Amino acid sequence: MNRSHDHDMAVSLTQHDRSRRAFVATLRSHVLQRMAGDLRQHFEGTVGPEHEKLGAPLESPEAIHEALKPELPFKAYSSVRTSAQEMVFDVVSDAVDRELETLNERAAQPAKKGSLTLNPALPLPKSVTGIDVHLSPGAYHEERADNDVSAGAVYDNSIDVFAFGQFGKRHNDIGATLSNYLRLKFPEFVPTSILDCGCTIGHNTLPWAETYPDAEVTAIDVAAPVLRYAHARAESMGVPVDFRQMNATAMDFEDEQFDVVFSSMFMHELPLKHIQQYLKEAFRVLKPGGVLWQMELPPMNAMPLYENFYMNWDTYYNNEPYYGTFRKQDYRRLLTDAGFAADDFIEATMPRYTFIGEAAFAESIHSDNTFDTLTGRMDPKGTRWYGFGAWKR
Amino acid sequence: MSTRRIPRKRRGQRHQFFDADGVDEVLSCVLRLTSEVSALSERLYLTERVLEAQGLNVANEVERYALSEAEESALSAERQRLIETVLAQLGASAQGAESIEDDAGGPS
Ligand SMILES: C[S@@+](CC[C@H](N)C(=O)[O-])C[C@H]1O[C@@H](n2cnc3c(N)ncnc32)[C@H](O)[C@@H]1O
Repeated sequence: MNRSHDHDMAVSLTQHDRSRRAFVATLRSHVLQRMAGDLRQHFEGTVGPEHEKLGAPLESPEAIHEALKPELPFKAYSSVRTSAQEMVFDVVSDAVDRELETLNERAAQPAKKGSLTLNPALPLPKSVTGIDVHLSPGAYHEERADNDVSAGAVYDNSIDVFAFGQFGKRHNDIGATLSNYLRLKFPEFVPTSILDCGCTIGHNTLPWAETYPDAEVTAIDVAAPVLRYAHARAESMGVPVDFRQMNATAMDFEDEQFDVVFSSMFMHELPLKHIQQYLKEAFRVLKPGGVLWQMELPPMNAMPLYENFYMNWDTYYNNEPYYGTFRKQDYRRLLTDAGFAADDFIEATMPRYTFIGEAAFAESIHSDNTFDTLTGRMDPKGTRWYGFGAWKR
Repeated sequence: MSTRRIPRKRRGQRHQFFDADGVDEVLSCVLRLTSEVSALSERLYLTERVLEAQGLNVANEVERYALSEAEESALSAERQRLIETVLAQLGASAQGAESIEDDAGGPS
């Protein structure tokens, strides 16, 4: 029978599983390309010009949202996108349910390369337990058995359907892109200790160990089920990573321990207060001369008006309540409030490393930043990642 | 802890996008149904190709085939699963679906 992935935490997929996954992936791609295209056209061709004629042009993402709400292309896009999102988790849960006991046993094998340190006493933040984030039932933390990995398995499998290949073969493109960006842009900077915050299943953690084979790589998350899965997955791929259950807003690490602190698609799931606490902690655990990087959604002030409306959809309808507030922040200011110097702020848009390869990527790191319809967004036509951070003096 | 099934419904209310009640849910049902139909026709396609490779004319054989009782109850269970999947957003419960199985005869 077919396996979902090329590592030992994979599940077997029946023909029926594969057909349904393929269908939902196609449906998502249809919504994000065709239906999103119709919606944009309806705005640019009809709703936008109508408001201009009335002398009341739509000048904010909120105004566009209000004007589009009663329109059929918006209702259809939103309703189908919601269903498609629900179906992602639905179609992958069957295979995970069937094999959960085996997966949980497999994950309990003794470690060979890295480590897993859980802290059952750690209180989980409400921002994680209080909502089923991006409509995933039980999100990252729910325990359904002893030594449970189900949330991690669902996550790994859901990316296959959700991202229809856009995150790279091992879902590792963001981590591969950022680590190779650093390696190529700052060749004299050779980190020996690297920290990933909010690592989930470690898919974007592992490429760091490949890019910097001599570095010690540590990854933290608050949720045990995804960490157990991350650890077992990394072990099976033979990549040494120390996974630790920890809250990024109050880390157990000593001061000045890491050369790199990074996160990927993490901050936008935090309430603003936690973002501020996390950045202060990141500053504290960074060594002088070290660097902080966040791979994130691009800030509102850099993106075209319509894109800002379009991106905000998730915060209204996809159980991403903190996403809108995060994007409104001045990212440089977030970092200076945490202790970094304004002059040390860096930001970059990057093409995807595992898609375009070393040579084209090496060339791209010298080009200017591009903020357009592909920046920081999942689109069947491709994606350009966005990241920001700062050096610590 | 005994192993629990992964929940298929998330917590919290679904958003209503269409003005009339139920339209979003019906659309969700249709999409789920379409995914099942798509999976089914892919399976049928594969089956026919496999059989063809064995030299079998499927169409004739299908018409003549008689189902055993065990097969009928397996098909019935599959029908029940299909209904639960299609109606998932309306919260059709397992109990509701059981009575459908009780009432249903075999496939005609
Ligand atoms: C969207 S996922 C990150 C995905 C992953 N880093 C990637 O590159 O795709 C957010 C993760 O952050 C974790 N998380 C949320 N709040 C946290 C906190 N305060 N400290 C540590 N982890 C947290 C969640 O459990 C979840 O696994």
